[in-house]
Amino acid sequence: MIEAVPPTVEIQVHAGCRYTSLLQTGVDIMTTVPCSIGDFLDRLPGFSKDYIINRVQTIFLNSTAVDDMETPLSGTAPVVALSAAMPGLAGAIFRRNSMHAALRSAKIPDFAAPSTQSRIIGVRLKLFNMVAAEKGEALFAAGVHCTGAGLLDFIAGHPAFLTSISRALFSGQELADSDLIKRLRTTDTIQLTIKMRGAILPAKTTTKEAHHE
Amino acid sequence: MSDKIFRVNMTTLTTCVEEVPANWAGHGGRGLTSTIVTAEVPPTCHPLGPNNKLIIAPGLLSGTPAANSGRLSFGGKSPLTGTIKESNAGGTAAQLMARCGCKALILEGRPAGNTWYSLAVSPKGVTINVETELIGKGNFEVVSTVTGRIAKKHALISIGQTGEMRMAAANISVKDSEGHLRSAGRGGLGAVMGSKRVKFITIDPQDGKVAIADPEKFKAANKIFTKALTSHPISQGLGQYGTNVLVNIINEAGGLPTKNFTAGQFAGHDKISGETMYDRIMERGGKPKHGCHPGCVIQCSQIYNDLKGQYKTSGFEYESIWAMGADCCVDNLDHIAEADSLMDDLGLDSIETSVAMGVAMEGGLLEFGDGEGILRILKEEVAKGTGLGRIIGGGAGLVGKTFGVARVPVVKNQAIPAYDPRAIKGIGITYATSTMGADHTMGYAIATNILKVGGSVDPLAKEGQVELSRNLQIATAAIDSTGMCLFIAFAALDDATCLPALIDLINARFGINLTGDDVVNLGKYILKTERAFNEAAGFTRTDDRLPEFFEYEPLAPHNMVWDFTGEEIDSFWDF
Ligand code: SF4
Repeated sequence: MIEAVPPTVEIQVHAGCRYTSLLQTGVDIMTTVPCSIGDFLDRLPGFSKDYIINRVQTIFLNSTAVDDMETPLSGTAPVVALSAAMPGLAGAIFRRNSMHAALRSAKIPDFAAPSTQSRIIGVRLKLFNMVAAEKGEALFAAGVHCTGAGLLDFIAGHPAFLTSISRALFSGQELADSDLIKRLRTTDTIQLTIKMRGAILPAKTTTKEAHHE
Repeated sequence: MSDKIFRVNMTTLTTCVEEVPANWAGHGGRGLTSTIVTAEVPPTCHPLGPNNKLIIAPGLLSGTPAANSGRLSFGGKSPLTGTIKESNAGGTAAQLMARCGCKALILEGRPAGNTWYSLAVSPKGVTINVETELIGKGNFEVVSTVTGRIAKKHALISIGQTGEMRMAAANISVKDSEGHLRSAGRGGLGAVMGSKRVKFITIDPQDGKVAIADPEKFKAANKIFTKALTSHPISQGLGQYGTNVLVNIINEAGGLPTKNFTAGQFAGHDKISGETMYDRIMERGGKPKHGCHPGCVIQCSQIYNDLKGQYKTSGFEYESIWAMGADCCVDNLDHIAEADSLMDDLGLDSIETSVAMGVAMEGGLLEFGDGEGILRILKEEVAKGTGLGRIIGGGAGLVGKTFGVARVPVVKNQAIPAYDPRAIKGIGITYATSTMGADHTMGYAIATNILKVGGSVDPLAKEGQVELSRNLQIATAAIDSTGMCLFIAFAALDDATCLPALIDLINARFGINLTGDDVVNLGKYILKTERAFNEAAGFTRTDDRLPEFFEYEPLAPHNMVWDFTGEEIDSFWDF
C-alpha cells in the first residue's frame, strides 16, 4: 500500500555505481488507469515506442506473458515486468508474439476488464537485464516509489552501493549513511531518486531531521 | 589428414586405429555417438559392465575455425537412466581431438584388476599408461598435475572421485583454455569412464590440422555465420549476464521450481539472479564474459570470484544456480558458487546432485535453505564415498527411494531441470519424450521456421505443443552433431542467413552438398536411432511420462497441473 505522501529519499552516487539491479524486485510507478500496457510503458521516463518494440522482447503482466500491447493494466496493483531478448527455449517461449508461444501453458488467465473510472494506482514495475541496465538510470533520476525494506535488502546484497553514495537526503535533509539506514528501517514506502554524481539535487545542508512519519 | 576411428580395448589393454565405416562417415558429435552405441553396445548390457562403451566424438565442424564449434560429445548407455545417452561439453578437447584426425574414440571392455590408467591421444593413435598418483584426486588436482607433466599444449578429459566410485551422477570434465573445467554433466557417463578404470585422457594434436575441402567457401560462410551470431541481441544478454539471466524471467512466469518443486516462484530470486551475479562479478574483479573454448564469439561463461577476489568458479550456469538455489531454497550465491566448485572438483552433475539434495531436504536430511549443510555433505559424505554420500551421488531417484519421498522430479530416473512443466507445458513434453530422460537441452534449438519443420501450430492446442516439441528435438539433434554450441540456435531463428551459412560450413568442410532437408532428416534419424536403442533396452511408451505428482499438485501462482494424457504424449513419435 502506498502512503499518500511518502517521504523522499534522494541519493547521489559516484559514476560507475551499479544500482539498476534494484529494479529486479520492482518499484512502484504511479499511473492513471484505465491504461493499456503499451501506453503505460510509453510514458515511462527514458522509454520510447521504438525501444519498447525493438528492445523489450518479453512483457509479463501479473506473471503472464503478454503479446498485445493494447492489453489493459488490470487488478488493483498490477505487476509489469520487462526483459530484453532472452536465451533458451524458455526465453523464446515467453517472447512477445513468439511462434514458440505455443509451448506456454495453455490456460490464459482472464485479464479482468478494468473499470472505466479514472483513478491513480501504483503499478509494480520490474525491469530485468539489459532493460534495467539501459533505462534504470532515467527511471531512478525521475523518481520511483519503493519500500525502505526493499532498499535495505538491496544494500545488504550490494555493499559497494553504500560506499558509492556521495550524498543522501531524507525528506530533504542530508544524512550520513548510517542514519539513512536507520530511517529506512522504520519507513514503509519511500519516494526514491538516485542520480549519478554531477546531476543536480536540491541544495539542503542541514542534518536535522524534519520529516515526521 | 583423413579421419579415423581410435579404439581402446581396456580388457586386453590394446589400441588400434580403424578406417571409418561408410555409414558412419556423414556423422559427428551426437549423431555419431548414438550411431556407434546403437551398432556396438548391447542394449540390455549393464552400463558399468564390460559390454558398455564410452564413445567420445568431436562434431562435424570441430577443429575448424568455425565459430562456436568446440563442443565434444560423449555417448554410451547411461548408468543413471539405462537409456542411450549423449552429453556434450565445451573446453579445448573437441578441437584438438579433431586435429588428431580422430573422428571418434571408442573405449570398450574393462580391465580385470584394480589398476587405473590414463590414455594419451595423438595423431598416431592412443597409448595406455598406468596411473597411480592421481587416483582418488579431484579434477582440479588432475588438471594442475597433468599440466605440470606435459609442457606442450594439450587438451584434457578427466573424472573426479565420484566417477572413480561409479556414482550415477558422475560427469566427465574437459579442461578449457584457461585451465578451468567444462562438464558433460548429465546421465552419469563419468561412472562409465570410471568403470573402464580410465582416470584421464590427454590429447596432443602435434602438427595435425583439420582439412577443409573448399577453404574459400568455408571462410565466406564463417564470416556470415559469425556476424549472425555476434549481432544477435541474445548474444549481448548472454555475454553480460550468462544463462543465469533466466532466473528472473522464469521466476516471473511462475515456472522456477522452488523447494523441491512445491512452488513456481522463489522469494530469494533476486539474490541469485544473473543481474546480481553480474554486479558481484564486477565488484570482485571477475569476468562477466568468457568463452568455454577458443572460437566462441558469444561467451556466455564467466569467472566468479569469492569475497576475497579469488577465483571460485566459472561457467556458472542458470540450471546449476537454480538447482542449488531455488530448488533447495539457498539464496546465498557464494554458497551456491562454493557448491558448484566442489561438484566440479568431485566430478558431479550439478543439476542431478542439487535436485537430489532438494529431495533429501524434503526427506528431512537438512532444512531447506541450509547452504552450509549442503557444502558439508558434499565435502564430508560425497567426497569420501560414505553411504550417505553415495546415495546423494546416485541421483534424485535413489535419494527419493532412500528417504521415502513421493515428490521425486525425475523422468527415466534423470532429474528434471530448471523449468517447471506445469507452468511451461511444452517443455514438459520434451522432458517426457526425450530419449535420454528429463533434459531441457534436448528440445532447445529454436530453428523450426528456417528448417521448415514447424508446420502450422495452433498455440492453444496440445497437438501444437507436441508438434513443436518434436520439431525442436529434431533440430537440436542435428545441431548436436555439428559440434556447435546450442546457443547458435537463436541466431538461426531470427537471421535468415545463419542456418544456410552453417550448412555451407559443413558442405565446404567436406566438399558435399547438404540441404536443409538433409539436416532435418539427420535430426529425425538420430531421434529414431536413439529410440530404437531404448526400446531394445526394454523401455516402452509408459516410460515417456512425467512423475504423477505433477498431475495432482497445482503449482502456484498459476495453479496449473500437468494434464497431458498418455495418448497425447505418445503422438510425439508419429513421424
Ligand atoms: S556460448 Fe557459452 S556454451 Fe556456447 S560455446 Fe560460448 S561459452 Fe560455451
